[in-house]
Amino acid sequence: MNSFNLMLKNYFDDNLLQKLSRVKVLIIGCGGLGSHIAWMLIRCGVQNLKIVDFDRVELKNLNRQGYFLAQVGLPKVLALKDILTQINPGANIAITVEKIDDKNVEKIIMSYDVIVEAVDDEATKALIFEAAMKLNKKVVAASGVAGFGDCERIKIKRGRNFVIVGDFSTSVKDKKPYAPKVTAVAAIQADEVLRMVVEDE
Amino acid sequence: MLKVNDKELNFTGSIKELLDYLKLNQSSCAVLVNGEIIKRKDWEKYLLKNDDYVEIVSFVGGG
Repeated sequence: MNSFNLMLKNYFDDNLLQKLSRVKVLIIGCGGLGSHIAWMLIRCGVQNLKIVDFDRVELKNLNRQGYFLAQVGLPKVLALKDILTQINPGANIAITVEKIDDKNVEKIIMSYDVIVEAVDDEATKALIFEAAMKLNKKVVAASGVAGFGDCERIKIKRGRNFVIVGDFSTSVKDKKPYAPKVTAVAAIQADEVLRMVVEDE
Repeated sequence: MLKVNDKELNFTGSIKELLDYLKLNQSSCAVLVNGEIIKRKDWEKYLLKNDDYVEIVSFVGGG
């Protein structure tokens, strides 16, 4: 066991650590939400993580997404995997460069327990939510992350097997996205993943 | 009478007709009826019944 995984014993009992090491989490979208959710889950002891994104890191992303100047031009999944591996070299991190559509969504989701929806496009959000629910997965989605100065409007809507986090109204069509609010929603999504893993019997 | 996102609504018809009536952008919606997800390809033929609990999740972009 590497020193990072040993360190986690300070924070979780063996039962919970086992759950965290067994759960298979899929994050779709590695932008302002996914890039932050990923490192939080790795720091919390998730050992099997798949990250999916079709994009490359761009300079304009750096106001909020968890990348560095030197990573501009790299596929986001590669840049993110590099960061995650520096946090816990023992974690099993799978990557796929792919854009989600109605033809590939079920195949991508199929073998994971918890699906984190962290994409930008609203129709793709609905598509992922629908497909993951249909396949009886646990789903953690986001809706409404743009703007700043109104984080008190962020809500957590929980249902059976799903949770949606955000202010449910502020689209990137209305306002630009900024690090504080996007990261706040990402942090709540990561926290909800932990809750689902703990509650899963 | 239906329950739609916790509000009572007097409506008869399919899920598609309900979304049309509510003037929602259908490509960004997901619909649960009594806790079960109903896929969009079934919205047209799925007829809502009295006392159905309909939950419409409407996503806005950003992530």
